[in-house]
Amino acid sequence: MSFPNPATSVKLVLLGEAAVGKSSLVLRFVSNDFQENKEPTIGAAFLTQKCTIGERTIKYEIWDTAGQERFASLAPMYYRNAQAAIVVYDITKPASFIKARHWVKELHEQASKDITIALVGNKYDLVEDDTEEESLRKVSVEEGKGLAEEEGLLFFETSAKTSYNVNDVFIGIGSKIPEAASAGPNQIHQTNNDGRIDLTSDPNNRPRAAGDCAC
Amino acid sequence: MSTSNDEFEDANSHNQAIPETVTENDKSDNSQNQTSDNNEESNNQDESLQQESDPSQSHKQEDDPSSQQKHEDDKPPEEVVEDTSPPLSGPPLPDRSAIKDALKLGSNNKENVEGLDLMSSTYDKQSSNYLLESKFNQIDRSFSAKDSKYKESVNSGTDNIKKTFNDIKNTVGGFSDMFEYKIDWDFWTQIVNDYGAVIHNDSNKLNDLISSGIPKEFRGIIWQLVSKSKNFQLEEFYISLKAEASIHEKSIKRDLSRTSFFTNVEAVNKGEELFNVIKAYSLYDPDVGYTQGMIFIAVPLIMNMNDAECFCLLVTLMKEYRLRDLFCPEMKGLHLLLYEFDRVLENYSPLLYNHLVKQGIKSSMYATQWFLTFFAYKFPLDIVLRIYDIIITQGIESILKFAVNLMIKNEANLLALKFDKLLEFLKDKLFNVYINDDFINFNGDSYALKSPTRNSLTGAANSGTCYYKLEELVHDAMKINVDPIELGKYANEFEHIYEGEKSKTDDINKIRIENGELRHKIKQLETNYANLNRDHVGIVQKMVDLKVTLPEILNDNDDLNNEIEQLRTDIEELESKIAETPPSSANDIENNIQELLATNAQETERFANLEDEFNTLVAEEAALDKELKTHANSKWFGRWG
Ligand SMILES: Nc1nc2c(ncn2[C@@H]2O[C@H](COP(=O)(O)OP(=O)(O)OP(=O)(O)O)[C@@H](O)[C@H]2O)c(=O)[nH]1
Ligand SMILES: [Mg+2]
Repeated sequence: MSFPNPATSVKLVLLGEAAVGKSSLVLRFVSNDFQENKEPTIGAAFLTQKCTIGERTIKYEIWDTAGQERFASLAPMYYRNAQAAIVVYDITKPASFIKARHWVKELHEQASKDITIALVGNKYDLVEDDTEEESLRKVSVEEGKGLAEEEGLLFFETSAKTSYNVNDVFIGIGSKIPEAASAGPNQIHQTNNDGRIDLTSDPNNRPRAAGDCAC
Repeated sequence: MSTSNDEFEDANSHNQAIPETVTENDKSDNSQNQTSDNNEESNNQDESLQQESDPSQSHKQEDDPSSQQKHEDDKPPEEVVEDTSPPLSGPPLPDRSAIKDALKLGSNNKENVEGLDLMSSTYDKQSSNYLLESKFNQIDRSFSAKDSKYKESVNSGTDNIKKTFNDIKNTVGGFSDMFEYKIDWDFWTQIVNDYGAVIHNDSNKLNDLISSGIPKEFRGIIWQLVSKSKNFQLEEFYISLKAEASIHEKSIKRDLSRTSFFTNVEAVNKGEELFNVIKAYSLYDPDVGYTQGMIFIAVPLIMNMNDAECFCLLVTLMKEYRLRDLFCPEMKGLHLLLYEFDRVLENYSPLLYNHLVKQGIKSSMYATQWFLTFFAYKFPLDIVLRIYDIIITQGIESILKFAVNLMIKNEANLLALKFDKLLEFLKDKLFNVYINDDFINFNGDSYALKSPTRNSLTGAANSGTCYYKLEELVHDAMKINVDPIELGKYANEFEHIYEGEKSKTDDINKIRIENGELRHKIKQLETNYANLNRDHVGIVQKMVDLKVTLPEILNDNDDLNNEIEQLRTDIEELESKIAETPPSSANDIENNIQELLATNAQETERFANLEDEFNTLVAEEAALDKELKTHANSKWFGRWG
């Protein structure tokens, strides 16, 4: 499949327990929007979004899957050819973290070997102004980080509601996706800047700050 | 639990009763999925078993009248289906009773597929009458197989509905002139009074009437009546379940609050009731429990009847309409429906089908939500209600008509689109072709951006000012031929593919386990190897060290040898010297002693002399001292005085 656009296409799948905020993260990333009552996903939803990281433009083709256990048998179809996966849990729900662990395991076993995985603890806004004694947080940062280190994943805590760290997840994944997966670096270099020569570009593909993301 | 639940337990006991027919593949799977098998499915297993074994054994099934009944009724088509697959090679086919019923419309004894094909040309595919009839037959047969208590309960439920209908007729009927549309009260009364008779005598008119939408005034009544869902016994059971706690409560509440349909329900104060229905179902059928999607299915129901009736209809849809297969853990019913959809679409538009395949789009990517929610997930309520009218009267397969029709109607649009745009279109633009021209003019080219009908409570059936051209939509969909014979064949194909896939996954799993074990072994061997390697390196190092020190040692050795040689000669020399010199005599020693004694005596004498001399010298010195003192005193004083 070839697209007229020179951007690197990256197939990305979101996995995680029901209601952890997968669809909300995607909605934030794609439309910079948030809905207090997001409908449960039935089956899966497909969305696309472009994102510029350094001198690369990445076009994310996102499969947002349904989180309920019952739909788990449909998931392989979506992650089988994915180059990237975001495994989401809700930092106020310990069970969702256990489920995230299972998804990571399944991805390692079944998905493509060089898949880039990000572990994301969502709903950060709920614990933001917590006091020490009384916290809604049920999964600590250390637990998340620990799992990520163990399994070689990127790790973020996010809030789809406040948009905290949301773009960073996609930028982080984009900068980890090997260039080889793209349509060819030369082609990108020639066409990406509308024929202009970009003197400011950083050859190291340094990820830009969230605000700079041209999404 | 009460009788209604017994049926599921019954199903389980049947499954356990036939282990010898289960293939190896199945056994591994049973632990998880056996319990989820539907009642009818297991009956079906019994059927195929009976067909293979001595027919005289069938009397053993007398305790389950429904299975007996089915066995007799379904035998001809069942045999045809079985012909194409090796007997008992895999689990029996899913129950396709609706289709089988339809097959029997023309004839009762068809021996082969060609015969069936021939027969399929005997019914009018342009109408949906055969689906109407087959659904009626299936419900009727299933009903007459139930025990008398159940029948009584449903019959009194039906009587109750009829009474309600007459009440409505008496209050609303008088004002018919005030409606923008006309209700054919006489015909609907006939339908309510004896649906079976209308089916047999006037199916064309019935079909037209239902396709035009059941009037909203008594939509819920017709649904319950046709499906024979209202059941006092079950309603009572619902009341008791309502009070129980379910493990799914949290999930249901969570999903209710984030379902936009819910706002409709809340507007008519039925939020609580909807919650109770879903919760009660999760308790009633624990294998299915609660699945996202059920809420969508139940919303149009609860808006047309009370909660107990809604529960009964939901149970009926799940069991008699086989919706349960779609929601059960493996979702096999969903995959079958998707497969059938693919085939029917492929038949109608190979071009579109191939386009989708080329773009890498599978029907499961967009049609899953259509089938799991009867189009309620994304689409406007008034369309959904019309779809329900058809599904309840014609059976679940009729949803394929709507699905395929939407694809065909949008064929040109779809063919022009690529992967992502295509998916987007499939997701929420398919119904736009049926937006009323008035609204298109009104909204300009960006039509369908807001659909007011999502908020309408009961749908505006038959109303002239509808946002969608519902008449046309249903009419077009009904023209799509969903041929039961073809569906039967597809189901058969699907079964083979499904089993193939399953054994493939089983194989893959087996291989994965073996792989895991081998990997473990490799790891062990690797550590062993690493250990050996370490030892080897140590030994080699030692050897090298030895090689380096060996010349030194050899040199040392030579040196030592030389030294030994030297010492040996020295010793020899000494020995020869010793041999030359005569042994010293005692005489000599004695002489020496005498000599020494003599010398000693001489020396003693000399010492004595010297002592004397010393004494005289001391005396002399003292004298001299004295003299010196006197002398010195005079000298000194003289000088200074
Ligand atoms: N406070 C807070 N709520 C959130 C956040 N993200 C999502 N939500 C809410 O959590 C609920 C579930 O969000 P969804 O995005 O639908 O969750 P999902 O993972 O897509 O759920 P499924 O589609 O059922 O698998 C919604 O009511 C959201 O409004 C967040 O960052 N903070
Ligand atoms: Mg979702």
